Amino acid sequence: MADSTMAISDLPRDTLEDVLSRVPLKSLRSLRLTSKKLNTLLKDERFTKKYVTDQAKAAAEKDEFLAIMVMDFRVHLTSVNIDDSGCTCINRQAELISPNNANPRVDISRVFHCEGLLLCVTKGIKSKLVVWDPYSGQTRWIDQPRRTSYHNYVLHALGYETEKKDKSFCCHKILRFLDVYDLNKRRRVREFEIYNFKTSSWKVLRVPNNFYVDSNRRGVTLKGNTYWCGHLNTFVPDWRHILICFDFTRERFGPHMHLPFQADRRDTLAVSSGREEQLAVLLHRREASRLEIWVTSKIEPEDVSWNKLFLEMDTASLTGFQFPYNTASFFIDQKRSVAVVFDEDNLAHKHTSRYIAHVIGKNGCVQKLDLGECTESFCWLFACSYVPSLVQKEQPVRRSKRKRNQLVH
Amino acid sequence: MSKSEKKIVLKSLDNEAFEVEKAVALQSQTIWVMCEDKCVGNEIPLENVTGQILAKVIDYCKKHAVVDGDGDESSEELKNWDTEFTKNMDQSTLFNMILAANYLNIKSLLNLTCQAVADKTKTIDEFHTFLNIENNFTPEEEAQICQENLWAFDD
Repeated sequence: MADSTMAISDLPRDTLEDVLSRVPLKSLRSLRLTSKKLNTLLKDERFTKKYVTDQAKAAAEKDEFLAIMVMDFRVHLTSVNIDDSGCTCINRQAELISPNNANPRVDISRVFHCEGLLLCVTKGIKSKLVVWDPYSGQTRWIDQPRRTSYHNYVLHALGYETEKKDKSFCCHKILRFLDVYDLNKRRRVREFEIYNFKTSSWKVLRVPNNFYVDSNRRGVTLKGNTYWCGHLNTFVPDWRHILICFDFTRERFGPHMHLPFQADRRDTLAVSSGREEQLAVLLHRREASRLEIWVTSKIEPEDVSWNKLFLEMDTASLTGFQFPYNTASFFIDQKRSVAVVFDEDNLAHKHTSRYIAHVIGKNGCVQKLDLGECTESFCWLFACSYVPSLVQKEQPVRRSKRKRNQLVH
Repeated sequence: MSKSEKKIVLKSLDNEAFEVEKAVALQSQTIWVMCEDKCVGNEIPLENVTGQILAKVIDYCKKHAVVDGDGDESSEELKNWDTEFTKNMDQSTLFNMILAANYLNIKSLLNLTCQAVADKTKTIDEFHTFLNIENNFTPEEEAQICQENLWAFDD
């Protein structure tokens, strides 16, 4: 009936959900604060599932996907469009803030993505681990198990164990590890610990020391397990790059797996996820100025096989191609045979540097996108595609009130 | 088919009658089912929709029926028309359009109107005004939600 007093809450539940599932991610918090009815509805797990599905559908119709980018220690939500010619648009949509604080700015040194959940390491010596679900809005603050003077070298990964009884339910875990050679003390320092979301506690892991994963090396989680490029032996000529997986169900590293190439110690390697839970590995051969991207045909914690070369190009023609050794990031669009490779352009004569994305197609570099000035030193751009999952997560804040206070600081 | 068979009369809740081409009206799955059942004559009573809203729904269906028929207009033009169509609607009209599209089962119109509501709201205040919702939180409850949502993506 047409009357001016009609409110959104007068719509039938299904229709109301249809409207709300079209509201962009960045407006969800405002929506929760609008009324009790909407807050209750938005908290409902059934609605969250619908929201995630509908948003994914709408993005697919627009041929768009979401990506998370960290630039200048700020976390950005961006939308990426790649058209059939490979022409790419990257638009910043929103930024991570802490709206209750007088200064809403949140500085994050690293982000690790696992199916919609973001593990953020806050910047600074007393860095905290925060697992944030942008869809439910919930944060979980986790104390680091120990202080370390090597805090800059600690690696974190977020993965999960799938419940045997119910595959749609999973228990998240964080792997924290440190593997450095202290030149002053002349010894290798190794610490491996795992945090379990169910028990809210850290546990020390014993890990064989027959491989190395460099600090700052970024990993990627597929089906709950995390993959890194690591290496055997520290000294040339025995140096060999390998692929290594941490199995979050068994809580151990899998066997060393082969990469589809031989590479030099100084070459850049990086991992990213492809469509349908494939792993993509980027290799930049420094001497030969050659960039290669390979994609798996099969990937399991103990077994890998590779498709033929996905993409290659001569990087000598790319002006200012720096490409960080350890911290490179990229993503691929298999449908259009395009890779977007992130980089920094140092304009020495202007004493500034800029964040850059190179869009690389089958026929070489298609496009160079300027993503803005880089004002902070030591913050390499990190980017990953952002795809939430429908897997049920443990709900720590729904437990007793006492526990909630412990968890939410 | 005689001329009269191609036309159909839609009667609103407030007894306003609209004579439209059958092809236009059949975009509504609800009307389509009614016609299939042959339980109605040439006049279809729509008990949940007022004349003011029905007129708008018919405008939409006419536009979309023409395009589907001869394909003269590009999808780009149709998209622009859709944007203009919902641009100046107030919230109450939009909600009523949503209800009508839901009742008449016109999926594309339901999508369009739901999207229009979602697009028109960004800040908390806009949500209150546009969605016509009263903030019924106590300060404690509001603080609790803020506490549960310590972080957010924002512009």
